[in-house]
Amino acid sequence: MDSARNTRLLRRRLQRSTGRALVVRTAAVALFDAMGVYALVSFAGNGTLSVAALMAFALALVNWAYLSPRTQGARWLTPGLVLMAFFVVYPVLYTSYVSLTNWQTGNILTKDQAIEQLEQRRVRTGESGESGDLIVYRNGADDLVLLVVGETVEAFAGVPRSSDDEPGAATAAFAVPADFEPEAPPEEIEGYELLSGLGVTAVAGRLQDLELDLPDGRSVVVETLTSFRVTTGGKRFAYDPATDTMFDAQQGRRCAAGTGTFYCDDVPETDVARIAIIAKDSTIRCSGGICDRVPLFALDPSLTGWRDLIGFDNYIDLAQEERIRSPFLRVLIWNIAFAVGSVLLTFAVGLGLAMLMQREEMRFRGFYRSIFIIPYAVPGFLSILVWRGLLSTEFGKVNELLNAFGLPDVAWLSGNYQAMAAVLLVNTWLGFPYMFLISSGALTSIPTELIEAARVDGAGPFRRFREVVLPLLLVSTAPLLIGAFAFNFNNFLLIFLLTGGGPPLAGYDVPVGSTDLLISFTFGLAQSSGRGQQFGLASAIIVVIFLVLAITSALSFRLTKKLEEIYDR
Amino acid sequence: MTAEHQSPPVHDAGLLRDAPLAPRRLPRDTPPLQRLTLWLRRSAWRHTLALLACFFSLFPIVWIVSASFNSVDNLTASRLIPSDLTLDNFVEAFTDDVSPVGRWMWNSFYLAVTSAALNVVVAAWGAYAFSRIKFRGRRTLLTSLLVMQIFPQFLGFVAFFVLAQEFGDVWAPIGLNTHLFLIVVYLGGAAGFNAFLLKGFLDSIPTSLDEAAKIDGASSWIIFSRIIMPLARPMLAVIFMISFVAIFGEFILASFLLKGEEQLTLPVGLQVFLADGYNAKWGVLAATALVGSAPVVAVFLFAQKHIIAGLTGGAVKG
Repeated sequence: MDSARNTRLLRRRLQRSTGRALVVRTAAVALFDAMGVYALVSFAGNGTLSVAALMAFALALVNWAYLSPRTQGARWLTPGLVLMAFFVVYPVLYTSYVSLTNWQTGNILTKDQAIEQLEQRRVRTGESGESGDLIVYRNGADDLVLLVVGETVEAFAGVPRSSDDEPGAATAAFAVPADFEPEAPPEEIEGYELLSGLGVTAVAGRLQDLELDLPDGRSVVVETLTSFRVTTGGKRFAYDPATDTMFDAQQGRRCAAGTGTFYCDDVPETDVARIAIIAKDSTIRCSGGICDRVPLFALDPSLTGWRDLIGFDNYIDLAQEERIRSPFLRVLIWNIAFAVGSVLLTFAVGLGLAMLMQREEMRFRGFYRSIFIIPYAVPGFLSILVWRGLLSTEFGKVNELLNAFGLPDVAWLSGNYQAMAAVLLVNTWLGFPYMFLISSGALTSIPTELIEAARVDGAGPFRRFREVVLPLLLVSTAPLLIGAFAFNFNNFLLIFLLTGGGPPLAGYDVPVGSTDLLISFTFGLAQSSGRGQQFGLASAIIVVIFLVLAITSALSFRLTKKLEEIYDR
Repeated sequence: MTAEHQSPPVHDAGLLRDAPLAPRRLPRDTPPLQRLTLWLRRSAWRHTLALLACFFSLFPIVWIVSASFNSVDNLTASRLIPSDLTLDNFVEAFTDDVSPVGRWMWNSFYLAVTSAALNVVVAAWGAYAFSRIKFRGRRTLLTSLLVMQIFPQFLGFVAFFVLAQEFGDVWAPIGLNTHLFLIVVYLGGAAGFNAFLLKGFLDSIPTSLDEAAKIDGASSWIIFSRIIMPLARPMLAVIFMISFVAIFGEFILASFLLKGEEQLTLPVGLQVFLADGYNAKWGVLAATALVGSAPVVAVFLFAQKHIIAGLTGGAVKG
């Protein structure tokens, strides 16, 4: 039979293609392994163990899924799972981790990086007499030579080195004319030509990073474009890994590593920044003019610390510290009000229009429907910007429209309550088409017999709506409404583009505006503010947002289940 | 939430016509005057409200169109019908050196097309597994995907910097400030949602088809590529279009992860027109807005019904 032969042929072809697939698959896995292991080594080498662990997981998953003969679903799911692990799960976990750290300006680096940076610091002499005149020369190859002279420094010309390099014996000293006067420096030193004032300005960026070693063992660094400062050349800090302590040569003290930085004992109170002593979370204990447990940054704010786990301190700050708690609470309340208000307004408008359009013999329904969808089709980032222009107080078209009806101007974007109204107005415009669409869909699914039965029983239109239509409508739309709530709860785009969170509120320590949502407020904290970038605190707020959303969705699971039980009989 | 809620709940809007809430059309022999009064009583208020809603809908759109053709460079002094129609704004938008709008638009376009296409592939594999293969932990995995879905991806921005840094160390083209990194971020973010959307559709394809193929010795790859995917083509197109629209307009992640004029996408780049508050170039912005929304509005009108079905399935506005 022909068909039997065909089946056999087909089967053979299928089997052959399976064999070929195995070869291709193995080769692909091998390639992925090669790249993955290379990346893994790089991640681990950088000390980012979390990313390395993630990569290890990805490698394990891929090898298991494609080489083990028994896996079925995993083969299809692995690409998506790996992508989600990296770009959905990892960010959530990482944010939770950051929320438990002191990651902020001054504590950005890892401990190793911070120690490395501290060990580059030089002992500072700070004596005013130890400076003098600096004159810059340059040759055709763009190499620089510095000529220095000062009260305690004899005239000396030499090739500078980068400030990152170890100070060494002075390289290539040049002969300086004996009758040398700083006011009239020689025009040329051994092929290097004197740079004019403008010429020096042009190389200012390079000068900053240069040091020149003097024959007597001292070094000079560039202070201004025409003056230098002497450093004694020694390194200020030396780290001892065995005891995990840092020796401060400038003060002759050994400081022990603690949370986020090194802590020094027996420091004269006059050396410690006042603000660091009185800070709420200060570790400093002073008695009799001598302080213990002084963190390095209290001695000099430019001495960097590292990011370190600090437990739940960020959360405690959110709950207790007034300067953070009061703006946080304010933003939280407005955020909930905004999300609920947005859902109610858009749903009311959308449902109203859907019911309006439901009457089947109404003319132009298709036309109306397409018009209603337009706000949804225009990309949000464009329409929000346009609304911002339309809502301008002085020239905006919205106020022009109000004036035409004899109403006064409204300061849409600069008044606190007006801005809240503006945000809701624009969000209603953005969101009602969606609600219109889902309500239209849901209305058609309501059995008309039910409504007719209510009508026959003498229920008026409002009663029919409240007791028959609305409950049935909510069954199918509740999950979508909750989804809309979650979306609006984090409607960063709207706030960022329309008001930027503003108008700013006075009287708070942290930057906060009257229309700020938690997420835009957080964004402000993570970017810079007066107190620097506060990633730790920002992440704590993000975790709070996660929790709110998780609770909301848990409730929604329950609610939909319940509604289904009630109405799905 | 169960699969039923994620699969498209919205049907052809034309079904609305079958809702007999009110009496049918008037008899043919109704006198004109009675017709008019009845219409006024029954329908006039509906049309009034509908027209008001149209006004609300179109209000900003009309001004975008007007400002883009107006020689006065703002949204303010201009009149609705500009006294001197001009194309200068369009010309300026695409020729100005400071703001390479054409470049941004291309960036947005190819980012959206690439990511959307890859999204479809990843989602198709995931959906196929969830719909057709019985494996241990399937329910748990499905639920966790849904739970992860409620966390807006951009909240993890600190982690993206770390990842970009590390990836860039290994291979520069996928580091910070690269389109490739943005693409994989979009891929990861949309994988769960799209797979879920598609799973609902695949569940509606009868399993007898693949069982028949299996009896003939077809591997699951053959079933997937020769049987299921061709049948799922309409839904694949929907996922492609939804992803395209969402990524074309995506602002937040792109603004975090891209720096440098040449790299920007349209939403991020457009901010330069507003950088200087009082001298904001509204005319140019409006012209750009008009051209920039064209692809999206076109996609929307082209596949209105399908996109809406997909979007309302997941309650997400891109």
